[in-house]
Amino acid sequence: MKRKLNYPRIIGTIIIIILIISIVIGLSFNSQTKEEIVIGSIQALTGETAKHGNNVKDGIDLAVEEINKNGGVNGKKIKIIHEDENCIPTKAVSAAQKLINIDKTKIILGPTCSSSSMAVAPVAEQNKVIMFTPISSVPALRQAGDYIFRNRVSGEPHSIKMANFAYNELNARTASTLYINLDNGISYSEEFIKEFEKLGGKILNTEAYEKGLQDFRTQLLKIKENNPDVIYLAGQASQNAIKQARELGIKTQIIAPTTLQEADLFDIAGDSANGIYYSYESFDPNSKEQVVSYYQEKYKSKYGRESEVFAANAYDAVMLISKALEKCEENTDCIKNHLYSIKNYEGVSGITTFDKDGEVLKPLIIKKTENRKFVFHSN
Amino acid sequence: MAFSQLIINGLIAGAIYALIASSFSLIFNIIKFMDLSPGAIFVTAAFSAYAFNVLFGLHFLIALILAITVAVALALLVNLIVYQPLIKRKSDSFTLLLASFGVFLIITGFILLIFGAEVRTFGLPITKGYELLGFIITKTQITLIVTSIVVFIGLQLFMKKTKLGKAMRAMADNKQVASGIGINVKKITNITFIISAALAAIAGILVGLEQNIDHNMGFLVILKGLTASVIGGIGNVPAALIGGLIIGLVENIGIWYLPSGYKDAIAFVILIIFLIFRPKGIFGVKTREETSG
Repeated sequence: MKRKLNYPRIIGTIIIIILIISIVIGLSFNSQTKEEIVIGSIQALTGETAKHGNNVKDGIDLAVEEINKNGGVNGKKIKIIHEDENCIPTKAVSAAQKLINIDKTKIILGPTCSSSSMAVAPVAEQNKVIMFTPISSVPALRQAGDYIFRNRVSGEPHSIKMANFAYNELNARTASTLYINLDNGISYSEEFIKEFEKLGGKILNTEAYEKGLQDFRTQLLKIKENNPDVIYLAGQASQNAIKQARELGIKTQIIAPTTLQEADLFDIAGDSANGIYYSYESFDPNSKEQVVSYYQEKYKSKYGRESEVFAANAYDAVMLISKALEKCEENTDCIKNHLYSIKNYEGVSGITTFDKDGEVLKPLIIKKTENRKFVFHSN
Repeated sequence: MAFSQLIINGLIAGAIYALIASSFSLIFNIIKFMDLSPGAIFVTAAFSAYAFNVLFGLHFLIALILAITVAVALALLVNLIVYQPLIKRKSDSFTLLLASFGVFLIITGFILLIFGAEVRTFGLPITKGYELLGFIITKTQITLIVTSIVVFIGLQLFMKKTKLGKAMRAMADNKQVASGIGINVKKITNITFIISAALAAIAGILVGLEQNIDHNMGFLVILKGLTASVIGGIGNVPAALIGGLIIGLVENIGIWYLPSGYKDAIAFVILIIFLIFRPKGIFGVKTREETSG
């Protein structure tokens, strides 16, 4: 007796075989098409840090568009694959693994957040993949490896500059810090304390807040009871702290590192955010210098708004990488050495030099918030 | 001065936890599963109120009513297309919990899609709060605390005095018996979702006013809301409100003495202590007939 054919089973098997074949073909094609250079990008595209991540993404996209319009790198177009890290280190690491193992990228731009960068750095280092973060500022990244670079001045010079400004210009002798409980916030706070105490100042208390938490009242109350001369507000997502300080009647001078300048600062904290001094990269969005005004024009026509420093950092990072690629193709040892050799590169975000640890050096300035605007204060 | 301010800080935080905890607790008590979707309803209401008020320029009160309506409609829709089919198939409460987590992710994902990841605000003027009895408090914060007290009393009265409330309690005790004595189970289920959504919506809008709005705001609220309802006594609606206030107070008083980085840790340590030593919560010792839930 003939057995009845099991049609669904046969069709199912055929479908699975076709699927496997097409995946295999797809994968091999993927690795064979070498007409383009694939660069990975890991940014915080959602969450509280999304504004920064998206600014970085915009800067990257603008630079890539420009490079590709001018014929690419040695005739090859650059293709960017953006991944979201949401400022969560584990997400950043899986994104890096995906970019390295599946997309076979040799270069990763990002991550956005310092904690994520610290987590991704060993993965990149192990795979000899260049990790070039446009904006992570945690000082510890300096020791993270030979293939690790950044295009933003580390948090250390920022904190040192603000400690000196507080002690010498504001004549502050006591200070409290309020920092985000992440790598960058902790180091901003620690470096500030070190320098301020070295100058002879006294730290009255240090308070932390968790990422995502919007209630700063009890931390502020503790600071209010200590009544310091200045409050060093170290780290992102602190807009509500400024608002709540005002609501609690705290009149103490607030100072901050570069993280203060966020587009929504005055939407959230209103006039209470006026009168804050903070350190900032020397990038001047209204600069008449040709490099900057040319960049700013292109940025405005693409996005309809002015570029801030993080987009400029990202733009410069892509340009630096493309120059390295021109010379080295995708040989990461060559790219690494090329980046180390860069001195006084005239970037949009400032005169850029890399030291022997892959640490970027750019001048810093002091800015102030005035009439709901971020203005230049002093050098 | 400092101590009274500390208590007020605790009450402000607690009032938020309390409202959201009561929303969780209501569904757990009557429909018997841990529904995480109020976390998403909370976010939806905040964004709806923002859209109606700031983007469309409607008066705040109208925006408030519309936002609560949107929230309630969404909760009923979720019940209709997700929970009811699962309940009909006699899915266990764990399946429903997972489904509700899915609902939470989908709704917040949609909000991200529509509104983007930026933080939004209602743009209220920022001024120093009123100084009363040695502490400082703003108008929004007073509204927050008063609302949670009104909701607490209102819920108590509703559950104890009205026919509907009694029917809900009957259903909480025993669904089969309740259905047997002529209580419309479907109707009560819907009413439970309506009240729960309205509570989450009010909490979302108030948090939006007091802090700001972003699509991630629901996640922390779920954690704290659940913690509050466990501490109060899970399934006991008014107790959940007390649980919320306790967490708010302990967190804030705790970090007065401990480093402030431990704020969340304090809340969850209390949760663990309660789970080990008093899993029924503060008000969980009495039998169900004696408590109001």
